[in-house]
Amino acid sequence: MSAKQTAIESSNMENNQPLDIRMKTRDLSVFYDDKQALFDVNLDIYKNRVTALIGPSGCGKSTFMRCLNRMNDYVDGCRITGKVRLDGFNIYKDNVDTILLRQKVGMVFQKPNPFPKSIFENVAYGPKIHKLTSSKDELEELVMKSLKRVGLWDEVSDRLSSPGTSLSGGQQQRLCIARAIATEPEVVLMDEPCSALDPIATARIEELIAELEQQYTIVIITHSMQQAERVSDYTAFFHLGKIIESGDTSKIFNDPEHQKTKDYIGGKFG
Amino acid sequence: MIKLFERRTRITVQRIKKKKSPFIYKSYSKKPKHTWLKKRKAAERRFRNAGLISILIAFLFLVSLVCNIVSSGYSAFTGTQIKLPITFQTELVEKGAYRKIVQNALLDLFQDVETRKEKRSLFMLISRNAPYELKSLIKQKPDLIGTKIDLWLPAASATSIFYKQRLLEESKRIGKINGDQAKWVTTLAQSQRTRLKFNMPFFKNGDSREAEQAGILASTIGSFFTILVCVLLAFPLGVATAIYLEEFAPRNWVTSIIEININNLAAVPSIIFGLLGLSIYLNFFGMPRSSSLVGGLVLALLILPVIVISTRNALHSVPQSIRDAAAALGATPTQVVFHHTLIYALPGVMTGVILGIARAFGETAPLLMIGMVAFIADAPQTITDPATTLPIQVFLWTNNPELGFVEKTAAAIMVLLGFMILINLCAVYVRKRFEIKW
Amino acid sequence: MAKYEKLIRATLLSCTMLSVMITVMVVASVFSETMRFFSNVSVFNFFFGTEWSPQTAIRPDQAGGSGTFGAVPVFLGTFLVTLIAMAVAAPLGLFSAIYLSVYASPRFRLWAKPVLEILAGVPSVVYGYFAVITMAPMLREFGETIGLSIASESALTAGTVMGIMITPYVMSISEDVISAVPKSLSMGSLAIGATESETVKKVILPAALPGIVSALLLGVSRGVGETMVVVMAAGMAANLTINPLESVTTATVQIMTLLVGDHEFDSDKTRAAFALGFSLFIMTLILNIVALIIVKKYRERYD
Repeated sequence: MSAKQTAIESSNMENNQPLDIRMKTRDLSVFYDDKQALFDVNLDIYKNRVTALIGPSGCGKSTFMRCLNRMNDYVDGCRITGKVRLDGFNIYKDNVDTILLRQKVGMVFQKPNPFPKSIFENVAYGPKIHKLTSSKDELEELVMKSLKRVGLWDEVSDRLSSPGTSLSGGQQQRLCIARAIATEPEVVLMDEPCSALDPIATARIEELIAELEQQYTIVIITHSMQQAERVSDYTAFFHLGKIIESGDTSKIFNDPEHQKTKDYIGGKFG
Repeated sequence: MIKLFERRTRITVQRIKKKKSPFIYKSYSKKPKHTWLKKRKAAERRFRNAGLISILIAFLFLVSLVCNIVSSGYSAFTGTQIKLPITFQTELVEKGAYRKIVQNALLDLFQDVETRKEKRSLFMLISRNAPYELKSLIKQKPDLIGTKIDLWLPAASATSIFYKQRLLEESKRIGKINGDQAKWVTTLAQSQRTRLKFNMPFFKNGDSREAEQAGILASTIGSFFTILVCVLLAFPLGVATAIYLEEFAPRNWVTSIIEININNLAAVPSIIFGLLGLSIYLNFFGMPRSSSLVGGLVLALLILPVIVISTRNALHSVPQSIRDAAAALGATPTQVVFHHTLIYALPGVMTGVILGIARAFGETAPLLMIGMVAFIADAPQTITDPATTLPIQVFLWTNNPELGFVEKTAAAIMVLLGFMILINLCAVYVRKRFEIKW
Repeated sequence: MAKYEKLIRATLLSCTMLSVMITVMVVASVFSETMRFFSNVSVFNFFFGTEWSPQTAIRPDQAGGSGTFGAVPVFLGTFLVTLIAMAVAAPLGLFSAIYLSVYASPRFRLWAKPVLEILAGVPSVVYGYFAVITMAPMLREFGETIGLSIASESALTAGTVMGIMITPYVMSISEDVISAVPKSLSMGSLAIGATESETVKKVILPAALPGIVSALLLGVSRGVGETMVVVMAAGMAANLTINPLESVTTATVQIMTLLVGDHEFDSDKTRAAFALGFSLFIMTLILNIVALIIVKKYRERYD
């Protein structure tokens, strides 16, 4: 990393252009014990855009995503080298507080994982622990706002106290998204959010992603080429722990530079 | 409502603009939120420390238990002996007055002792068992009669403890020994007439009223007899029951009641089994009281559910596909079980049996109830002889107020724990060495 | 061949029947003696009488005198000792389990768990020895320095040692229960930015609560049925007290003192032991069944 590059970064950060780089990784490598899972990954993630990560199973997409909010800290024997910057700050510095980081970089998991609590408590959990609201009214309002934003409010407003696990799969996943955005994050990471859902629920989530794009920076892992094409602005193709190709989604899908990318998108392996 | 909602959004936007690096802890110090975060962090630390401290307390207890037992028990593995110039006067030997011979030897050494009281305390330095040792020596070598030789004889328990502690620490408490005796022992030590020797009696004697003669052989043999009976009954019965329940029993309410029955038996307090032993074995069948036979039968009931449950788990972990494969080759159901399922499950079965034995080995209460609490000086010869077991020996000695028995108790516990560790290592070995991973 | 097959099956079946018979026998033998006891002594006096002095009933003219077999002090003593034991075992066991399953590194867990389970394998008579030889004098000295007089055989001594004995038991069940909570739940909480303790307190523990309750119930049932520690450290006198510094007696101690060394079985005195034993049996049975039902329900929820 040269000094010049750093200067560019900071200047980029200051003028609030829509195409700000929100997060970037430089030479990011991840090791599980002795096994290397990621090799020198460099990727920029743009503000208020959807970035899709695609690639065959076990290629390191999830590992990469978990580096972005340091969830890898909870994996035993995981070691990370290189840099991950959020708004120009390296989040792997010692003085970074993972609690605040995760409040700003939310995450939605592959399988819906609502807590065994009421729908209201599920969404209110984050704001409560972070004390984002000062009164009960404010909290209720925030919960309502979050549920409205994921389009769940009309479906559950009359049964906020029933358990979150009583919802259907698609509703559960939207509940989890509502839970993630209730902490007022700036970046939302989604690890195959639709893999456990039926096509209708999937379509609903995709719509939701398009809406959320206005306010959040979104990174999404998907196994579905069509989905990546539909929802994302940028796409990065991972293979065996390396980024083979990244760039505009339309470019990657219509005119990939790399043969492997072409094969994968064309369905030759995966 | 809608209005409030809009205000809220605006605030959010402002906040994002204001904070450049909201996730960095240090840059946050002037915000009011900081105190809340600090509180959360403190709560996190407190919680984590509470967990760590709990574990440390448990460790501490384990360490103090072990240290305590070892520090007060290791000295029992050595016994003190005193060298006395013994004269086998012919007339005394013929009268069988070996006690007198020992006393004369002591008076020989300390010729200034005159009063009755002083003499009595002098004679108490030597074990009351010493005359019997002389007797058996004369029996072996009759030609010693009329000669004078130096012999090592066991010291009394109080003497022994005083001597050992003096070796460790000059100024430590004297115990149950009076000033004169302390002086004499010191004199004996200075004239090289004392020594510490491996305490053989502890391993080859039964219980005794004299602490220096008390040993664990009888109770250890009692333990082995009891375990033998217990395993001979519980192992076949338990394994057969488990096989039937797991492989053959029809799935209906009778079976499920049997299952619940056996599972609950595992949690019944052991003392209840003692009650059963008392009322059925002793009262109804009239079996010999205090015998290892009854003890073994009672313990068999105790470990039966342990064996049944672990055997069933082991059988259950053999995949169905193995059974199907054997059956597809034309094996009958029993052949499937005895040629395949049981064989593959054997390591798990054995581990369960060994752990059951460990439990039976340490069990005390039900055996006390059927009268295995007797004073047993001689090792039992058959399983119907009155016997006692190692844990009960520990119990009996703990209740004995005499100082010499404290170190014996701790030493017996060391032996008991040694056996326990050995049994558990066996279980670990069997599991590690033979277990099949599916 | 078919004959052989049948023979083996019949053998297996008869073994099973024998096992079942034994379990029935345990209950029946204790139950019949208990019934004979209650034909002489009223059930009401036994469960609500406050005076326990069974030794006096040996004389025929005094048999079954009212109030002699009032078991309230005995049950109260059992309750007190178990309560103290759980006051030690519940926090120690639970916090250890949480630390092991949430915070501890895998290497630490790998050797810490077996080491702590050694505590569970130590025979209870050894704990009794420890209570008598070490704990009792230690507590007494400690009591003196803060101006309390603690009896040499006190509920506190017995309860504390018993608590340490139960700790690994509570710990290992709780740890199983906690690690059975799906990882995705705690990940969901952590990804929002909750600290680990918040995740444990607000997500894991509520989810694992039934299992933890049953772990505690099983611990209680252990404590109620434990014999050697209380025989050696708690005392024989049936004091009607809830003062942990005094000597109390428990059901197991009374069974022991009433029956050990006695060759007669036809007095109310010995039958009283069976009545106590039967009450104990019912108590532990209920605790265990409730615990097992809770665990089963809980497993179904996450399977």
